[in-house]
Amino acid sequence: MNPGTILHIDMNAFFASVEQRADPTLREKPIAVAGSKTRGVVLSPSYEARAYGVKTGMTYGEAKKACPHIIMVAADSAKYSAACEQLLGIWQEFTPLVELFSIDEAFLDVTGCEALFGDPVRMALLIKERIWEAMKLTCSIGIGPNKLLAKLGSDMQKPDGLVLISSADVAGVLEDLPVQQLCGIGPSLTKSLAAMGIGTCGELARAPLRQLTSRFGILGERLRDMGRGIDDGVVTTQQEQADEMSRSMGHSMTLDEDCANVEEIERHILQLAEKVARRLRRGLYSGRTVTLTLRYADFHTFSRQRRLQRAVNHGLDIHAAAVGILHEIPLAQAVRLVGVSVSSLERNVAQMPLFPHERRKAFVADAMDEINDRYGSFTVTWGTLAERHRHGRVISPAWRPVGDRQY
Amino acid sequence: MKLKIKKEEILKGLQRIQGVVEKKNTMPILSNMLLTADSNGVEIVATDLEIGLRGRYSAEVEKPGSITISAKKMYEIVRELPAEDIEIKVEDGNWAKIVSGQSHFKLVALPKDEYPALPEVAEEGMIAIEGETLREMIKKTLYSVGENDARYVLNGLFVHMTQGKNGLNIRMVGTDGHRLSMIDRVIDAKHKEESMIIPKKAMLELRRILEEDSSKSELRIGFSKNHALFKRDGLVMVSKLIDGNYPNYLQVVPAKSTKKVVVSKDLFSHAVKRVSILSKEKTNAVKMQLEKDSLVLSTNNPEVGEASEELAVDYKGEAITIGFNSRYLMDVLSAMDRANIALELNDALSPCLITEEGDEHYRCVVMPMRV
Repeated sequence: MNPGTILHIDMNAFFASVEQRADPTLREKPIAVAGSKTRGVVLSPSYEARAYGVKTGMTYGEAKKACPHIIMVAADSAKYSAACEQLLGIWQEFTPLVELFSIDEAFLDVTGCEALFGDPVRMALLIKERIWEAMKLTCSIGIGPNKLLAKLGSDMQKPDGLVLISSADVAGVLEDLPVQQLCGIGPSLTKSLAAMGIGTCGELARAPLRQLTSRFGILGERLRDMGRGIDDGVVTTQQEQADEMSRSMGHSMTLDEDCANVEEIERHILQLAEKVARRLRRGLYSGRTVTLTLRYADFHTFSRQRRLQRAVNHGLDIHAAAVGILHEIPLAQAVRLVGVSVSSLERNVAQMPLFPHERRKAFVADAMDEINDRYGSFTVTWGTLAERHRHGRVISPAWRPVGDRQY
Repeated sequence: MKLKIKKEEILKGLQRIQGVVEKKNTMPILSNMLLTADSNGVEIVATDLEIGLRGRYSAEVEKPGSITISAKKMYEIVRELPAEDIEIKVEDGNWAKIVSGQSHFKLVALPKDEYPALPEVAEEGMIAIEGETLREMIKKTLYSVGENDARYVLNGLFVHMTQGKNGLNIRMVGTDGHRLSMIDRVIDAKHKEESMIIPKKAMLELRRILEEDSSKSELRIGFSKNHALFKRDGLVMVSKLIDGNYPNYLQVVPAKSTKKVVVSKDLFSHAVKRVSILSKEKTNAVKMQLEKDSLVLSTNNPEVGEASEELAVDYKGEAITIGFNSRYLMDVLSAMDRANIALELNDALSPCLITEEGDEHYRCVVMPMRV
């Protein structure tokens, strides 16, 4: 098979750039988009702020320390999702095979599009021009024979970059590249590999397969392939992703303040459970496994699961299971992030329950969904949550402009 | 212990207990059976602590004694033995020797004292019931009993006895929260009003025993506070009862309906089977449209195709479109025996009552799906 041509497009400082575009007074200034003006982590610093060393993931305090005159901007998810939708439209002018990797990143499979737009570099320049013209945003584009190398390429030159890694360059580019530069090799894998004396992709490519598989199992072979720049992942469109989604649905949020109060955490769980439940119902799903994820103030993050006797898609049922898990965890620290997800999904909600009280519960959920669809999320909700929905929430990195991820 | 037994005789006993013995191996002794030889023959006992089964079989006992051995291994061995006569010997209590023709087996045994005793249930006040009546009642209700449901009372068959003028009315009800079946039969017996929930597994085993020889033999049933007891010549089954309150099932059985149609059971069930081939996997949804003198069953699966079938019926009522899980319909239809069935409906979001023509004492309720 001839190698394909994949582009990876990474919008530069996406949230910050969108904010700077919307408000001229922010332009060319160090700004950082965060969960709220005074709380939450930095989601996106502008390039001006990055010059001072402000990084994604810093707390408000850390950012302020690095750059005392930084301007904090509260995240406005509606703005970013609208921008993302517009970008998707532009990318789809070039190829239908667009995979949104996150709200500000996408893979485009442009194999065979040369006849229409010229060689890949020309095509990438055209895309950059279109985006700049339409939206006044810049991006870095990596071009490679597969997703792994395309993503690597876009990471190599920021902002406004364009890097082509052709099949012939692969070995040379990877030889001395630290393994953690590859998408998919995180800190803990990096550490494990370092313990085996593997620090660069070249070393990874030459490592005996047996050594890798005995340490990492089936992942071993995949790791060695990554070291060699081999990746057979295909660009999957949103429809395809939606099918894939049937594996699990979840939401998480960073709290406005670190919280050690169990009752308060239970309320956050209810809010998340309601969101998950609504998405489940929208996709006609229900699920049997509920997972609760907690992140402590020191960023230690962990998940616990509970398998239910039957599939559920009602917020209160998901809440009950997640709270059950919470009560089994001795909280060691205040909690800064809570996540709830449901997996082992089944597509069976069309069957109505026989007993009237259960049927009423389903009908109430339907009625709530209908009202909330028309008048906005959480227009009708439980009294416990009534106080919580005045302010917008940080947009989830898994957000997608269409499909059940909208909710 | 030393005895001789016919292969056919012991095989009958071993077959019966296969469903009872514990397969999960939480307590090794529960995957064993207790074999006791005395002057009257052989007794085989198996239990999973919820159900216990004790059967007596004829054998030539040379030396009495008892032993516990793996029920599954013993069954597998006996099934394959070449000769008619089987000899079972225990020499030192740790091994059971099984000899038949030229085949020799030694099975590890566990001390018999560790084998849990079956609960004692007082035998006075037991009621006699025809095996066939009981079999029919179980067959017609057990399919709708829940399985591993969190509402644990639904994992059992509800039995309610009331004394009437013509005899003792026995009612059995099963439901899994999506469908329900309920049957009443009057037998010639006397008993105080009483109700209990019997675990599904016990009823499955009892049905198997009742189907064994399709004999019209009588069975006696008795109850204590926590147990049910079933007795037939040489065979005793004890089951724990499920403790709890059974839901108010009568509230989901439609008392009156605005629409009723009678169809041939065979025509209807074949049609359901055919159109459901193209129903969406997992949901098994089938759409039923009822209008003047016509009943149309249809399915539509965008990925595979669509199907429809029309049945001519005598129907003058209001038109209605309603969806069902075809599996639930098929379960009801295969539990019914008569030529015609009646479907009674109110609206697309209310339960549907299915009855057999000529038997108002057997009622099945199926909750529709939204289509």
